[in-house]
Amino acid sequence: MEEHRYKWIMGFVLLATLVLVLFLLNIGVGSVAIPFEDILKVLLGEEASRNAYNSIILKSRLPQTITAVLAGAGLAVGGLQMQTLFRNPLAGPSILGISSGAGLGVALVLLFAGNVLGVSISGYGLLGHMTVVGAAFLGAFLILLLIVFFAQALRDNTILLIVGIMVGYAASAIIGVMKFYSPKEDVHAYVIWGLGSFSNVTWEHLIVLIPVVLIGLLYSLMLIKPLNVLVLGENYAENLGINIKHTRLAILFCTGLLTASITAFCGPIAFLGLAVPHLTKGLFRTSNQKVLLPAVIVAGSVLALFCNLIARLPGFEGALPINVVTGLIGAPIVISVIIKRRKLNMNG
Amino acid sequence: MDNTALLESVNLAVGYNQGSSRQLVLHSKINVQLHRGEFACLLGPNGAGKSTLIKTLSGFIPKISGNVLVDGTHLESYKRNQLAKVVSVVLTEKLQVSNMTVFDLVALGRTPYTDFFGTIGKHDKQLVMQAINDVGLQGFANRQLVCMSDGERQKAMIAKALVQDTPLIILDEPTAFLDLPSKIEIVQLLKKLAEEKQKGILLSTHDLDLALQLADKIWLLGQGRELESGIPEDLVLADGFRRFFEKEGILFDNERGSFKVQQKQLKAIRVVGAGIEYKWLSHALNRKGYQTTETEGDYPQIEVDKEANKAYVLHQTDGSKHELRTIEDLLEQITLD
Repeated sequence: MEEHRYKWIMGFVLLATLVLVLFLLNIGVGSVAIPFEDILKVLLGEEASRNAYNSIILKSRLPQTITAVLAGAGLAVGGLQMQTLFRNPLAGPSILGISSGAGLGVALVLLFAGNVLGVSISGYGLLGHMTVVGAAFLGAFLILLLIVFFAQALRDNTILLIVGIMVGYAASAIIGVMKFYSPKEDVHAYVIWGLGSFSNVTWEHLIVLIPVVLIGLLYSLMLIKPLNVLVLGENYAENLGINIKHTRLAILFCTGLLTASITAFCGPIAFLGLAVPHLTKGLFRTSNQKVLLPAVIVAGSVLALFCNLIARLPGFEGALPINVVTGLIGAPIVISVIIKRRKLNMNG
Repeated sequence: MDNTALLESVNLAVGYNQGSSRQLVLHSKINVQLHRGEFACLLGPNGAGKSTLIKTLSGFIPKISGNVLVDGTHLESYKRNQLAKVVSVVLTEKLQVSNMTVFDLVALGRTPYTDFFGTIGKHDKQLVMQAINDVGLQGFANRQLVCMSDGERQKAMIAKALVQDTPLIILDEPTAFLDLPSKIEIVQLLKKLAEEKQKGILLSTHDLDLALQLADKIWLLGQGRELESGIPEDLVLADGFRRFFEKEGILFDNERGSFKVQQKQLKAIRVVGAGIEYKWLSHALNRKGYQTTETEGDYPQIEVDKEANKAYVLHQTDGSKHELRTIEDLLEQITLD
């Protein structure tokens, strides 16, 4: 066990270093490159050598980078919780239709308002954006409540999983109908929202997003013990004194809160939540949630920062939506990790 | 010695609640007892309701009526965490968790005793290592579950039940998918643990032979019959097994304590001899549908002489004589003529 502990500490040191380096790169790299010295100056509250640097970092890059850290951490935790609860490696934070719910909320605002009321929200700037965020959050939360309602009625996790996926399909279908009858510009605005972005989040948003995500993350740390036992399946867990119903609701609520808030502000970020737990398990080689949970929080931040960095590389600036990057960069990484682990298992 | 039974059922009925008012009662009037240091086997054909009874006794599903007393206290008056310290279970299901080591798994057995974050302290660690040794998995603590055989994994689950430190351990067909040597090992291990650690152990299984040889008590559960319990020998003498496992073509041999497949035995044959060769020759002939006898008559005869080079001498009814080395050759020769 001592050798494991050493490996785990090394893993955390590695990930923490990566977070720091990527954090600084995210602030420094972009269409305007900012020297390292100036980055430190601005972050320490001093004046940079050029005035423009101050405003670029503080108004645009810093909030965007913080958002990436929060979103990566939160979605990764949601993914780990869903994969553990449903004992299914394909589960992710949005598996229960929560992000489809957010999408439905946004579609209602963007498409329905445009169609029926004749108001194009997409043209309203900040106020419009706040409306979109509010609608997404409301939609996601309504779906979460629906899932929690089903969770109380259904004992079987597999059936709950199927119900969740069906709810997601239903939401997507309604969105489809609305898209069909909406003018092009509004549909375009919806599509853009659906591609996800860390850059629309301003300090005003962060005042809400930071505490909500932190609450979700702290809550998840309190669920470590039951989550660890759930790995054995519900029967064994129940026999070990775990209250399955309460635990399940707590886990659903925790993942729901994280996913709903992050999706509301950043749009549906695909893939991160599914991939990070696999990458982390490959790195730490343990099933102990006490190690895994903090690890996915840091690893989630690393992957989100990395994807955001790629999306903002000079030349791509503004051109690459975050979902394109997470898919293109993340998928090969995950495939290689999984294949490598398979081989190890077979040889071992 | 404490005279209260560790596990006792009084007029217990088990089954399932279907909807709000409908009940499916599988068995009623179940009256059994299990004491400390006792190893009991619950036997019965598939679909007899073994699993339902086991689930009810371990608190997974509510009873229909009657009472279950664990250590003298009503099962349903235990709080969740208290019950976890009194009854531990091992189930049929195969556990496949990547990256989980034997130590991790067994340590989860300490869940009812650990703090809010499930911290494994020094004392817990000692108990875990002790239990891993007790089930015969020395040196396996850091082995990954995915790299172990099914039998070893079930032993680890038994170690988990041991560190849960409960007076009662209930196992629901833990050997169902194991090969014969692993089955024997596990049942022997359970018998030993019951004795040495003075635990009450209840095992549901299909393995009649093993149960007959190792169980202190046997609970027989048949479809649509009342549960019968007793020590194996009494049950055999009372024809219990024969009645419970009656099926066409299968007969429980009360003398041998195992099942015999009844074959139509049409042709008679005389076998003369003694010893183990004689026994297995009769076995082979029975299998092939011959009725063996020792009296002379108008049918073929076989002499067994284990000292001779060719042990089996076949005299056919037409007077011809064949000397053969193996039973296989002999059987071939008989069918040829």
